[in-house]
Amino acid sequence: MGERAIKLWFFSSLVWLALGPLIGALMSLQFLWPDALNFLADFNFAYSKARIFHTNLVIYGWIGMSFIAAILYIIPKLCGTELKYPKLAYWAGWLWNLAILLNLILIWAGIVGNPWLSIQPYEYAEAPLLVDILIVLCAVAIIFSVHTTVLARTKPTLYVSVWYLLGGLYTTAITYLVGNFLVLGFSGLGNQIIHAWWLHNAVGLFITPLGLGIAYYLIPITAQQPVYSHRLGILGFWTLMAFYPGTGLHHFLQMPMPTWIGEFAVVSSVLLAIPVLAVVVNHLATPSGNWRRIFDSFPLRFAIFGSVYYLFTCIQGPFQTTHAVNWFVHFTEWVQAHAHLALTGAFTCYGIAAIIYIFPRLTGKQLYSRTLANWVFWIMAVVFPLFYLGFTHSGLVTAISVNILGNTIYETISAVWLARLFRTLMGAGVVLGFWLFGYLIVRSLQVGPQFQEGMNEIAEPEGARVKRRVTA
Amino acid sequence: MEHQHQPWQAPGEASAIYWVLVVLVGAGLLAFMLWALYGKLRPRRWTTTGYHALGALVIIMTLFTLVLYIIPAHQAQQIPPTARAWDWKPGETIKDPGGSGLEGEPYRGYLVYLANGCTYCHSLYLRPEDLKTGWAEGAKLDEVSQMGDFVHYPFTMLGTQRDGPDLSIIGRKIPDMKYHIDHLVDPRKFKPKSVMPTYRYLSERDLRDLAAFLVSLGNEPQKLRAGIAPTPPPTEDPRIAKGRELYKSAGCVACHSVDGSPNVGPTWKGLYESAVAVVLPDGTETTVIADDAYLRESIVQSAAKLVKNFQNVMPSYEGRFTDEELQAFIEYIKSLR
Amino acid sequence: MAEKEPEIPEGEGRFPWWIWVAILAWLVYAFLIGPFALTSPRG
Repeated sequence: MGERAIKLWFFSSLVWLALGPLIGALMSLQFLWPDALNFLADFNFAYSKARIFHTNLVIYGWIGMSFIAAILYIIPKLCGTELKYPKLAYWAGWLWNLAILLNLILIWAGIVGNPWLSIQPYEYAEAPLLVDILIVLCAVAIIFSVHTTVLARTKPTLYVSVWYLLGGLYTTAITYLVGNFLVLGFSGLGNQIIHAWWLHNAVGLFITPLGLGIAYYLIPITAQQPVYSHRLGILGFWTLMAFYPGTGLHHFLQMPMPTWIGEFAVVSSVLLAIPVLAVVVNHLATPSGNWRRIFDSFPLRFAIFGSVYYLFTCIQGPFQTTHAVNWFVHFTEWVQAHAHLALTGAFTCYGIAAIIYIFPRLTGKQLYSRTLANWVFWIMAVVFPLFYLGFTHSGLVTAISVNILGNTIYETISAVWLARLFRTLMGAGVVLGFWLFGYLIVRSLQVGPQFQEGMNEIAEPEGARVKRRVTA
Repeated sequence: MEHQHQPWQAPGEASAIYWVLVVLVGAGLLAFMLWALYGKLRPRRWTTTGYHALGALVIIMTLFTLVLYIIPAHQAQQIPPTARAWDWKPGETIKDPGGSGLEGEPYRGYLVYLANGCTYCHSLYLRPEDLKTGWAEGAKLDEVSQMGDFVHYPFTMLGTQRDGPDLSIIGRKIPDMKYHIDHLVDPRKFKPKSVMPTYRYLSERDLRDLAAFLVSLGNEPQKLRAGIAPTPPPTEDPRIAKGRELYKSAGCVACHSVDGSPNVGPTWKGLYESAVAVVLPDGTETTVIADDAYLRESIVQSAAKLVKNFQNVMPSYEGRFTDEELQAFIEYIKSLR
Repeated sequence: MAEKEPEIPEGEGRFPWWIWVAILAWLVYAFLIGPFALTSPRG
């Protein structure tokens, strides 16, 4: 039953992975040929609603579901026990899917002024109150199931992944409640300040700790090396929990608000460099001495790339919160590019790594094609950075044109047209990579060779096997 | 040192307790980091209590910063509203100040604005920086957003992204519901380069309310209620806009200022119909009035009547501009009083 | 699924020295240079 629950969360996440980024790529056409998307209006739809679809599907559909699937797999392994209340986790999976679907329908309907069914006007928390309640029910079920599993563990130690995953689930719960419920108790600017708390913690206290917990599990196991440092694990975890929750207001630094809380947000963001360096050093130093495994093991490859992207994201993030930079890049696509570096780069890589690692152990089948897996990898390693650069370039040109030269946004549109075309093309490439990945998984269900513990997750051609074999 | 408050700077100050907490927590974190990196670690055995302590500590740390956010959020709600603060109530309607006879409900319009995700491309606050950027053309110093402006908003979504202009003073600039409705239905009819999607799918009521909301932005609610139509800005001659664009694109900006500051060439500010001392090609000095004919000649062939004390470095623009474009230049220079 | 999983061993690694240099440089930038909005046209 535990396996059924994991499978449900995993395969659902793949469906949303196929859809969410695709919507993103399609809606970017709005910036190139705005009239080409006019037909959407015949379906009560527009770019701005598509954007909500895109962010919600990626965050709750793909990242959320694949991470929870990985948690349901990893926690019992690390605790040496079976998942408790697997039925609860299984039905929570269906309810979560239902909530996402309902969310899409209600966003599309755009009902005005209904307390239960209207969009809540909060970024990443657009889900109407009804959907929020469903999501909370699922989250409670998952936390209950995972929490009792840890209590029933047979191993005395709690590996660092467990801290991240458990701590991450608790903070996810708090964050979601704040962003969707507590915020309703405030009005005016106070409402915006509480929303800011949610806005960045949706990434910082939900996606980040869960993703890092998964990477902490995958990297040492697939690299067949001990984790570099227990100390850095402690340092990274607790400083993350200390510095992350206060960062949200760096999204509104030039908004009129009490100055000290903005400064608090900036200082928190700046100090984030410490947990990030601790975590990334820990991840990147772990395979050291056995780097050959990176040729052999696809989960390791993706997880390491995820950590590299995570490093870039988190160097860029604190940098752009300092005033000297922030007023300049704020409001431009630079910031969206940054968000893509985190979610498409770092955390999607972690998600893909987790799926490749867990799929054979769940279904007993290897992934059938190394070539296809290589394509997915190189798309994430080459096309994605180009996509990111195009995105950032467009943001920078806008910033220079509007902020420095004083042009209006209309005068700027032609200047960024090529950059946006490049962004769309590369973004389409990334979407193609996700589709190939989905195909790889689904096809492997049918034709994947038998898997046994100790084999590679991805079937190797006969000749290559001997050369690449690395003994554990 | 005296600290001068700008009107947009927030009056809220952190209490002494905040600073004590900051110092204590900071010192605690520093001590923790030293311990984690160099201290003695106990054997890694976790009791159930230890496990609960981990969870509890994570939750406490998160709630701590949440409280730090709730304090200013509460402070911000207590700020006295400014006279222009948006305070439309549900059910309240306004008549189109543009005179079309349409009526709309700004409060409901705000809900429509949010339900359709307008906030993902438009912000609703003006930064002091924006006076010098192109995000909100024509913004004035006293229009920079202040805390008191937002007191009555039921919820705020001031926006984190601008793919279009800031809308916080759009109602002051274009107090015309009919225009806004037409623009929502077909944005490129008015702004050929706009990338805004069409919102023709909105119901007639939604469009009216949304337009009413847009008109309510940047206008004092009391005045709108009293039916005092804000004076619409003089509609700009499109030739002026054309001239301004040419001024940048044709490179005039490199040598001619439009604000009176000195440069390689004479400034355009106040040039039109002023008396200009010029040197003719044969060396004689005379004074001419900078009328249409003079300007036209000078753009095409600047050496014909060279302005005194300037070098003749301007290239000939013979045949570069159409008649229409030359007129656009002149209209633009005319507008620079 | 309950087959014995080997525990993941953990080492005692420290920050390499250049990470400390990076952190110090970053803090100097962030607290001494960054806050002064040198480039901002804010009045």
